Amino acid sequence: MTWQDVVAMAPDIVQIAILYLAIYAILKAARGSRFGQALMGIAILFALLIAFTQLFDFKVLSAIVRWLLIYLAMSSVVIFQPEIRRVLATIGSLLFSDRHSAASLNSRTTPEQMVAILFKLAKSKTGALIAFERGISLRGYETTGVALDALVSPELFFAIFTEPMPLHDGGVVMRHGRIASAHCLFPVSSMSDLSASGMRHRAAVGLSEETDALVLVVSEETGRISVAHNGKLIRYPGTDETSRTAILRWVRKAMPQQKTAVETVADWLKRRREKTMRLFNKSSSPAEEEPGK
Amino acid sequence: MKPISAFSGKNWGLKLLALVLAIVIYYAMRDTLRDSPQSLIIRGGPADAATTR
Repeated sequence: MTWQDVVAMAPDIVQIAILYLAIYAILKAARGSRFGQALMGIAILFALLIAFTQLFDFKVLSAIVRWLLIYLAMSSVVIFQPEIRRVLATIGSLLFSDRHSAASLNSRTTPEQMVAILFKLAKSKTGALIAFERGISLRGYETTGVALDALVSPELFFAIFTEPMPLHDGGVVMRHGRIASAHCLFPVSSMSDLSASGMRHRAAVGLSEETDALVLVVSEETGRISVAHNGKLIRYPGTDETSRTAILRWVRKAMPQQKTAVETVADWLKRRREKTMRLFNKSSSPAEEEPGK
Repeated sequence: MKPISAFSGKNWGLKLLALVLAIVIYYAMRDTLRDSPQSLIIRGGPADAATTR
């Protein structure tokens, strides 16, 4: 292969790479979702129909299948409307996002504090629905509730979500580490997997289907915490340490924190010290057994 | 999806499927375009020859 052959193939390679990126993004987004199942069903149906008509050389049927394919492509705008809307909103939010604004990154509420509040709510079995705004704006849902723009505190969350209170029904929208509004109405998901779940869980999934928000739910029946993201509901078994770590990871994703230089150095020193201590403990007591063994 | 994650990391099965689909779709579409009447006119093919004769 000469250099000229490589240059001649370059446009093909670039175009295939772009096509690959688009297909990979669609497959990755579709995997495990309702959208993916529908897409797979349609693909299998049409692959079978095309194979059948080609195999027996049925020209008229083949033309009908192609005609159907064109109409299906047009109707897919209606079938996949929520997914398409979410993708377009994500693209828009990438261009005009303010999620990394100074207000957001310097908010004084840390993810750890937020998780501590969630676990308090879970322990007391106080049902809660909390949506964290990310790239896509939640202002449309916020207008259905009561504007607060309040600092986060456990007392305020209990005041909102305790049952006879006027704001307990509906969800809370969090923006820039503050409670933007409460008593908000979220869209309800019609996913069949959620038939056993209550309206709070359905609303969490519904909002996560339409936006990129991270929605946390505390069940008032079981006290379990669930996370809804990208139309999926992840339930955490209880108030154990594994659940806490996993939920903290989710909340950190939704609440990016900017650290000052001093905090970054302090963190680095702390990590170094912990690592040294671990190594020192390991080397000083190699034969020591774990308690309880 | 970070762009770099499409070229590195996990999900090799999905990546392979996406690559195979991309190659198949690309060459199928290229052949379709090559055989279309508009393409023949542009390249001075039989259709073009028929109209100019």
